[in-house]
Amino acid sequence: MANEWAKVRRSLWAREESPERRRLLFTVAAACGLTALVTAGEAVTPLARLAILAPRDPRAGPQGVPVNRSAAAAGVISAPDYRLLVTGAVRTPLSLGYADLLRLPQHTVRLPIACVEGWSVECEWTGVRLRDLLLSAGASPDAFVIIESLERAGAYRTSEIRPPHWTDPLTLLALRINGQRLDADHGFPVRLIAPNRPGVQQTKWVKEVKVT
Amino acid sequence: MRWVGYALGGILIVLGLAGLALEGVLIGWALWFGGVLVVHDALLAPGAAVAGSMIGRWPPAVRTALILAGTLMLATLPTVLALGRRADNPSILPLAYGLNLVIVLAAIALLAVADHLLSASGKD
Repeated sequence: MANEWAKVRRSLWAREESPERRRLLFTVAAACGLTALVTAGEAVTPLARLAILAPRDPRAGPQGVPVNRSAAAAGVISAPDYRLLVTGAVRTPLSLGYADLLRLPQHTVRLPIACVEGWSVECEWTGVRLRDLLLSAGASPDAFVIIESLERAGAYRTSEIRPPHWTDPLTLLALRINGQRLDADHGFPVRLIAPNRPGVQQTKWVKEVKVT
Repeated sequence: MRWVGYALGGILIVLGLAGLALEGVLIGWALWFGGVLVVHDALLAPGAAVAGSMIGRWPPAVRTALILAGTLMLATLPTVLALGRRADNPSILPLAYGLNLVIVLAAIALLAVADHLLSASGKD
């Protein structure tokens, strides 16, 4: 392939005052700008009202928040005898019912749920700090942790969470979203929510926290 | 200096290809990456050239409107066709995209007509 950079630079930076050329450049910019304007709102919430051709509306979904995989699609049915298990390399393995989790100290954080597909929305999550739970079970602060879902199959039924993440006070096992009990599609009874983490790794329907 | 650039670029390319090969995704990546090039060079670019030569003598406002509408429709085609809509998850593709597309296209057409009339009256 020939090196055409000199030619490209000449034609790009030449000061040709052609109205046709100027109009074409404005048209290309307008076409890109218009397309961005009617789609970007799925990730940039202040533009949500303009996002009339975006695949997601950041306000549409159960409890006003979009969902990637519904409880029905994941095959998760909420059971009354639910227990959250903390197992593996811990001093005291834990088994907590939903009511037990509600009795633990609750914390509220504002974190986005951001999908690699492109949509993102900030929510207020309330629940138990993963750090509190793991330290009370006697896990080592440098342990790697696997979060496992009630989901039986699927590429994202488990996710790994490393020490800098699980020791962060923002990382919760969330029970509530925007003040309401989690909808089944948002991961009832318990979901993981942590900062700087793609949505598919914010594991929903958490069944077990395994310390390795 | 130029050969230093070529060497650095070559090293990065080999590093990337080695990474793809080690992950075992080289073939899939080649199909995807090459497919994009083929679709662009064999379909999109000739299509744009043919379309451009057809509308080349039309009024500038109409051409601008067609470029806007074409880009927008190409970029939002999967959304407008609602590919991936699911009964169990109404938050995927929740809007009336056909209607919304018509609204945006109508707005483009309106602006193009206004622009055309204004520029025509400006010439008198």
